[in-house]
Amino acid sequence: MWGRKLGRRTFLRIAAAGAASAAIEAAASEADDMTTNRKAPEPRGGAIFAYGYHEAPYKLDSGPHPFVDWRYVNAGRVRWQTPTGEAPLWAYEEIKEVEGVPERIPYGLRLVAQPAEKIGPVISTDRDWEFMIYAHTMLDLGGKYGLWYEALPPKDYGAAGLLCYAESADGINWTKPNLGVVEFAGSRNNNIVIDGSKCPFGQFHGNSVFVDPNAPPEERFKVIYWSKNVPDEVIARLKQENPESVDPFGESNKCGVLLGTSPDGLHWTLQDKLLFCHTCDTQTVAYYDSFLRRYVLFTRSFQFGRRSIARSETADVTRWPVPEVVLWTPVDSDPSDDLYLNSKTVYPGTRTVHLMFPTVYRRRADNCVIRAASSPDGIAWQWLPGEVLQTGREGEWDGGCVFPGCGLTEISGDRVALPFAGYRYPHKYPRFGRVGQFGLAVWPKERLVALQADEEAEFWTPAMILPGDSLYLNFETSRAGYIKVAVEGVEGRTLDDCDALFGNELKKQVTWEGNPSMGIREDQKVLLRFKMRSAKLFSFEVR
Amino acid sequence: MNPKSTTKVGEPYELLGKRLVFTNWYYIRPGTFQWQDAEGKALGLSASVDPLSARLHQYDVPKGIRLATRNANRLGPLEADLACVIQDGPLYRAWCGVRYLESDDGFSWRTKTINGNTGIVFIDPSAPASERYKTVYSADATPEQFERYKKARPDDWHWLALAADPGRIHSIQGAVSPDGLNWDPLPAPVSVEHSDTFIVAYYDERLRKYVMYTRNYPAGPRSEKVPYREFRVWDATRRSIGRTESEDFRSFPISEVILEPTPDMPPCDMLYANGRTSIPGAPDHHLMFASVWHAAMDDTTSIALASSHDGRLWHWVPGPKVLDTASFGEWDGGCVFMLPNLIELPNGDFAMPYYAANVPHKYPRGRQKTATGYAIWPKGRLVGLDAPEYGEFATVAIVPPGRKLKINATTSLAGSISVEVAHWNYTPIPGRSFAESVPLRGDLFRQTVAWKSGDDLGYDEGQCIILRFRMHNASIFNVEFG
Repeated sequence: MWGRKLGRRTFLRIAAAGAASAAIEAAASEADDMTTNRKAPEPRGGAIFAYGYHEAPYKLDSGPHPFVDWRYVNAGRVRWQTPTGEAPLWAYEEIKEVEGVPERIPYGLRLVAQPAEKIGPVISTDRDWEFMIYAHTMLDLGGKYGLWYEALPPKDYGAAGLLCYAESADGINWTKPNLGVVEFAGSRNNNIVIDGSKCPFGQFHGNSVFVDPNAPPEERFKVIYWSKNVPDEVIARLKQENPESVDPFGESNKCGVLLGTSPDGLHWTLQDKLLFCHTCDTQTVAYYDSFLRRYVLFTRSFQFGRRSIARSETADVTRWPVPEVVLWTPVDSDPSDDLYLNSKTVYPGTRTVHLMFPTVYRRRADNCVIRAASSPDGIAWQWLPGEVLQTGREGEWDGGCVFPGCGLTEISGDRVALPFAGYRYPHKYPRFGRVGQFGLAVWPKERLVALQADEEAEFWTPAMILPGDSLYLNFETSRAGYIKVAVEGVEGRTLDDCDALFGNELKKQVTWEGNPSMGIREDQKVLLRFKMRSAKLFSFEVR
Repeated sequence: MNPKSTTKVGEPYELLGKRLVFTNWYYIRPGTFQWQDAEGKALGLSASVDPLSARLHQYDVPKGIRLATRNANRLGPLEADLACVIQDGPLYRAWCGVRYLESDDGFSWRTKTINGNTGIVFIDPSAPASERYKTVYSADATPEQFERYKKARPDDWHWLALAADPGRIHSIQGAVSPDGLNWDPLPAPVSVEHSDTFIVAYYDERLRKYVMYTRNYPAGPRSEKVPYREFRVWDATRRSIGRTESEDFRSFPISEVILEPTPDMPPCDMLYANGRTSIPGAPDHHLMFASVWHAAMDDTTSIALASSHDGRLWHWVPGPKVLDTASFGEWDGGCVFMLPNLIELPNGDFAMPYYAANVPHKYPRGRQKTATGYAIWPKGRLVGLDAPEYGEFATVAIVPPGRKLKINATTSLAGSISVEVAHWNYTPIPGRSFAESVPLRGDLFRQTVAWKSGDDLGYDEGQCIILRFRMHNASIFNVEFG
């Protein structure tokens, strides 16, 4: 790996040598990146500039680069040439013998979302205060995993949601610790961390938890949630102070979104201020975007009677414009579908691989399938072909409907997991007994989406500045398939020189006649050329 | 399936015409491969190597190509009604019941009344001059005809022919003619079965047999456990396409279903008329323009294309329906049915007549208007072998019926096609390799393929060749030897 200066925070973190939370570490790393490796500019002229996507060559981050869109596949071009050289664009007079020559045009490729393996149930509805569980966030806390989830208590205990906490050493086996933080039904012997009835407006619903790299330590954890029963005068005051934070639907339903902060995720301070007035119901997901230097959230909105996914961003986490719809029922889907939850996340270990796992709620069958969408900046989204998770078979624990939670997280066994809630009955079926369990949607590391070559395929990357001299691929080929890579313009690094890669490898180094070096200088502009057959390429990494 | 069990099969193939058309994979090599060691040495099945050390090497494996039909342009209504058209040298000849028509261009027709009646007509190259023209059609047999038929062929008739309409005897009848004008009906049915619309017969020069395509029904045997009360067949089955073959035009075995609505079709679709024909200039390329009747859906029809290398085994050609019922209100806005045959117009367009009505097929016909139109595929571009990105393939070895090759193809302005000619042993003929191919670009109609040193295919007389193609963003419709 080429040399990289350590930021002050990184230095202090290493010096402290403590078991800092991975989520906090990742957040700190985000903050570091603003001051060290790539100094994020003040956002000017749109996200592509903040993210550096206008740069040619593009400066590649270290770490894995999963293929989730076409960003690393060069679009190529047709070069018009004559027998004597390149034809001028403005010829004004007809030129004979003009020939179009394809230059770095990719072929034989498609992107396919990969179905997840289901593990579960891993958490069940088994406490006295749990009638139904839902709305959950999983975070890697460094050495352990935390999972925050909502529980709706049995009807004798009111209708305010509870935020509960579970933890795990491996992400699969979970315990519900007696935290002694919140008194419920006369006892603190529980795992409740927020009692919704004690929230400013007596309601707590549709939450998610995130770690804020931009916050002081005592406010590092944040919970964002939705509440009904917002008094008219609170909405009127917000409307007067900040009209763009109130929409008519939220106003008529007397509801909005609020914030809580915590140093540890367990002891919460709930803020009175209404962030914005909007009807969003389930699952609002927020994060701090270090490129945009903005807080961003995704939540639900409605248009033409369909649930949709909306986005908002702000520099001040306490003051938000109402969200705007960015995704709704795709035109190639069933007209009876709508989008229920967004499950926005960033692929672990990356900064620019924005993903959503929208819940496609099939009203026709009252169940769900989970799809995937990707974005280079969290603003422009593309649907990925394929489904990643389906409602289970009739009679199974998740045979009624499934809803993903928040927080795509690395777990043991070189896997990543997204928690999901499964229910035995269809979504709007009369609810009785104990309702809901949590499972994990699991993929091998970096294998959420395949860049797939069914037969022969070829592509070039854009010009890039690489963070190292060694190339690693995550791939799977048929036994007769292969992947080869050339480093354009570097002697001895042609496709013919490359030792063909085949098999099923999570991280395999590319070599050229046995040599693992790409043969490039630091800061050298590089284009990589890939040729493959009967193969799935999931990610690449340069070290 | 082969005409005789002793017939040798395999490469090289010989074309009955001069045109090679790709409507299925028959003429495209599937490719071969070899597992090799690191030095490129072939490893046989008995070789002992670990699971990771052998590498696959491919030879002539097609890549990046697919077949897709093209929509027809609709032209009509035509001034003349045509039940079938035959391209006979420079002349287009048509029949419609008691009328005979002739044309030099396929549009302006000279009409004559004929002596007799006709269905779908074909010219029989194997017959004596007195029976050069033949026709088949659906008609009732008289009781006397049926008695004579049963005496001669006691087990060769179908229960449906009698049961479908009590009192009637459905049959397929034939007639022969020396000139297409004076017809002698055959004294007995060629087959006693229930067939109905647009029965198509022809003489297959490769099989040396008469072949007939009929309407048939994949109806299962009726249970004997419940006493027979009434005829109940049509509600329980779907119209399908039958086929029968015979060395004797006067006597066909009962036809058997060879193409029925497939599971990827809506369950109410049926196959109404077969529209069997061949490709102009390529009599060994068998096509069916099957009328798919969307019966219970909206009572309209559309035309799906099927192809076959032998007329027996058929495949649906991928891509859109080649012709649809037009918008309601137009002359062909009710239903459409293709009529044999596919012809090549003087400008190179392919055309096939179709019969159409302005109302759906089973709509009350008191005020129905019917007419004939042409489905037209400009420049003969009916099925494309498409390479939307990069594609390559090789043909099976062919005995070339000419020393030059003309191609019918298109590329985008930035696309290209290159051609290589190889020997029987797979090696490129010197001067005819890809490296020496003059790239083809644009709208290539009857375009001669050339190499830097000439446009002759470069083979030695008596030899067969393999053609290899590399395509960028291109479609090939056919190649023709000349």
